[in-house]
Amino acid sequence: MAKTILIIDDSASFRQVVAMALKGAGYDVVEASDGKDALSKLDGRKFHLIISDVNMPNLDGIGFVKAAKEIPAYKFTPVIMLTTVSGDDKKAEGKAAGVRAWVVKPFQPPVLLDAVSKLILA
Amino acid sequence: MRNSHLWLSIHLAGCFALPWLAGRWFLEPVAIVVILAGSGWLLWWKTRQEALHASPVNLAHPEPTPAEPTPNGADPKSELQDFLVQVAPVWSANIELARSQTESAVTDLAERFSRMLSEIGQAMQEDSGGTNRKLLEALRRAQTTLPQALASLSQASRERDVFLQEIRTLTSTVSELSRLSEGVSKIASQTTLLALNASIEAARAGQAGRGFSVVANEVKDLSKLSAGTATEIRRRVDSIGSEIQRIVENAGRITQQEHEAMRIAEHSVNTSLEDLAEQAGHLETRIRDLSVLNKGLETTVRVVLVDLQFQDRTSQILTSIRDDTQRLPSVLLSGEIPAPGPWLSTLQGTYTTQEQHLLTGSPQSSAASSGITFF
Repeated sequence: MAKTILIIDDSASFRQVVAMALKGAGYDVVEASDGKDALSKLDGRKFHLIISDVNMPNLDGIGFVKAAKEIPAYKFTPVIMLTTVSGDDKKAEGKAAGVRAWVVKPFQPPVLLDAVSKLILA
Repeated sequence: MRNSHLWLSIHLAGCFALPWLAGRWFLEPVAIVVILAGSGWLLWWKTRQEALHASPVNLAHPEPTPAEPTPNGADPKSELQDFLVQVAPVWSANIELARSQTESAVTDLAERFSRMLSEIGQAMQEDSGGTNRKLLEALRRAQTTLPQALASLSQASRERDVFLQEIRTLTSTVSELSRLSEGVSKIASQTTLLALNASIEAARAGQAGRGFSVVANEVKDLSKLSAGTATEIRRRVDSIGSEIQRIVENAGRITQQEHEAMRIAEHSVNTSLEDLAEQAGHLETRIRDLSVLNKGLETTVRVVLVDLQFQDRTSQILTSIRDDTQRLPSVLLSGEIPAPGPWLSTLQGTYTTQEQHLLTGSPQSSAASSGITFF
C-alpha cells in the first residue's frame, strides 16, 4: 500500500510540482494551502510524512509543526521543511519545533525523494 | 580608501620633511596647521565612507533635503506625500495582479505538464507491456509454435508411411497364404488319387481288403473335404488380398495428396513466418525508438516542472514588494516621512530568497540552495 504524504504550500503550482515528484515515486499525496488548512486535515487519517513551506498566510510552517506535534496521532510524524528560507536562525527554530529535515527551494526531485525515503524508513 | 591613505601619508611627510630639509624651522607652525587641517579632512572623509558602506542604498535613496516652497506656494513634501498615497496602492495592485496572473498561468502549466507526464508514463507502460508488446510476443510465439505444428504433422505423415509399408508387407503375406492354400489343394488332390488306388487295391484283395476299403473311402472323403476347405481358404485369402490392395492404393493416393498439402503448407507457413519476423523486427525497433523518445520527453517534462519552481520564488519577491508598497500610504498619511534606513531594514526583514539577500550583499546562509539539512 502506498505511503501518504501531506504537502503544505500556499503556491498551487509549487504543490503540483512537489506532488508530481512524489506521485512519480509511488506516493499518495494530500495537499493543503497553508498551516491552518493543513491542521484541518489532521483528522486522524494516517500521514507517513509531512512536507511544509515556512512562509504562508494564516499559519506559517513553524507554527503548524508546533501545533501538529501537540496532536498525539501526529507527534512522531516526520516533517520536512521545503522553503526558500535558508537562514540558520530559522533552521534552528524549525529544529526546536520538531522538524527533521530542511530542504531549500528550488529543490531537485532526487534530493527530496532521498530525504523522504530516509525519513519514512527511519 | 587606500588611495586616500597614500595621499595623506605623502601630505604629512611633506609637511614635516620640506621645512626640515630647508632648515627653516620657522615654518614649523604653518606645517602643524596644515597637518591639523589634513587630519580633520581625513576624519570627515572616513566617517562619510563608513556611513556609506554601512548603508549602500542610502546613495540611491538619500535623505530628503528640507523642502522649499515651490513658486506657486505649495509644499513639495506634502505634494510628494499626496502623490505617493494615491499612487502606491496602484503600484501595489499592479504588482499583485502580475503575481496572481503568473501564479495562475504557472499553475495551469504545471498541471498540463503533470498530466502530460502521466500520459507519457501510461504510453510507456503500454509500449513495454501493452498492445504492441503483446502483439510482438504473439508474433514470436507464432514463429515457434507454427514450425512445431508442421513438425508434428510431418511426424504423423512419416508414421502413416510406416503403417502403409506394414500393410504392403501384409499383402505379400496374404499372397503367401494363397500359395499355401494351393499347396493344400494339390495335397487333397493327391490324397484323393491315393484313396482311389487304395480302394482298387482293397477290391482286388477281396474279403481281406474290405476293412482297408473302408479306410480308403474315409481318406477320400477327407481329401474332398480338404480340397473344399482349401478352395474356400484361397477364395477368402484372395478376397482379403484384393481388399488390402485396394486399401493400400487408396492410402498411397491419400499420402501423396497429404505430402503435397504438407509441402504447400510448409511453404506458406515459412513465407508467413519470414513476413512475421520482418514485421516483428520493425515493430520491435519502433517500440524501442518510442521508448527512447518517451524517456527523453519524460526527462524534459520533469526538468520543465522543476524549472517552474521559479514561480514560487518570484511570487515571494513580488509579495514582499507588494506588502512594502501597501504600508507606505498609511505611514505617509500619519504625516511622517519614513527614513530610508529603517524602512529598508524592515523590507529586508521580509526577504526569504537567497537572491534577495544577495541584493543587500548579505547572503542568508552559506549552504547550497539545493542542499538538505537533517536534524
